Amino acid sequence: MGRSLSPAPIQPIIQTSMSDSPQHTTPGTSDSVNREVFRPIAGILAVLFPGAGHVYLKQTWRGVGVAVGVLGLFFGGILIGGIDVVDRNEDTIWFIGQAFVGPIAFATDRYHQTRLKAHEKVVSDGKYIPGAMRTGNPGEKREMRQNIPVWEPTAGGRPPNSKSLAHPNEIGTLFATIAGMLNLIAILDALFHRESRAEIDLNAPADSTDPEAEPSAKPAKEGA
Amino acid sequence: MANFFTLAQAWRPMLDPLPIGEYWPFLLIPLALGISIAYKAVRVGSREAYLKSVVMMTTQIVLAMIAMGVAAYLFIWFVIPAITPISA
Repeated sequence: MGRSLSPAPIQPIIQTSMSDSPQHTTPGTSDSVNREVFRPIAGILAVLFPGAGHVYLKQTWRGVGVAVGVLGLFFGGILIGGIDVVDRNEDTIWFIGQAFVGPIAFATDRYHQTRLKAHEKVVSDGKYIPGAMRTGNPGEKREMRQNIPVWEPTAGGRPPNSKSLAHPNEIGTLFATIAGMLNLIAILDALFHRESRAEIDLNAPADSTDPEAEPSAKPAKEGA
Repeated sequence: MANFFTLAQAWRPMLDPLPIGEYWPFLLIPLALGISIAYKAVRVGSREAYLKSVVMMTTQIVLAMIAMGVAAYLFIWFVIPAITPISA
């Protein structure tokens, strides 16, 4: 009955959705540190190598964390399922996710397609015609015939890699694809960087740490 | 286990699939750890809280997956037979 109808005073709380911890804001600097800043060079570096974008932004520990996590998952997936889990031609949908790991994923696929796979052996009038490209089976050996890699049945032959099946293939593919998805998050974070997650070093000079910082933004402390 | 070591002798790392056999569910732990390391590196606010956040998230993922596995087991073996009587 005796409640006041006047609204509660609005507290000047600055909050972002990208942080797990309370924001470190200072009067007069909150606008600049909470703004997303477009960092194209950091984004490109993050695409080229996992974590490189954050290292460029002087957040080395974040870059190392991203690199360890993404590359650990990617190469862990290859360790579990074999290189067969990275296959642009046979597992195209999965490779779309893996591609976000960057040039490493494309190089892995290139090596798989050109060095490990070979064509089904098809001979017509003494000429080798490239058949379907595939992984070798046990009892086959990869041989070059008229500059075309083909599978030749050989007693005791062992192809350079094995086709992965069942759980190792599923889990290895999952590892490598999740690595790409996580690196996409890191790429976007480096590309649209938000200063507010970093601890602010009030004593640091304005242009000492951030290579792309705008003059109004407070620099992020290294390792913060 | 003896079968695992026999197969592992012929295993070529990165070229052949890991002969892990029936132990594949344990791969959930490195999967959860890798996800936590990369995700928390982007997400967490300070370096001091990073390791704790990684351990916390890894534990949460593993426990949540175990809980969902138990829930799915109970649902399939007890709830479904109770609501859909199967005639002999």
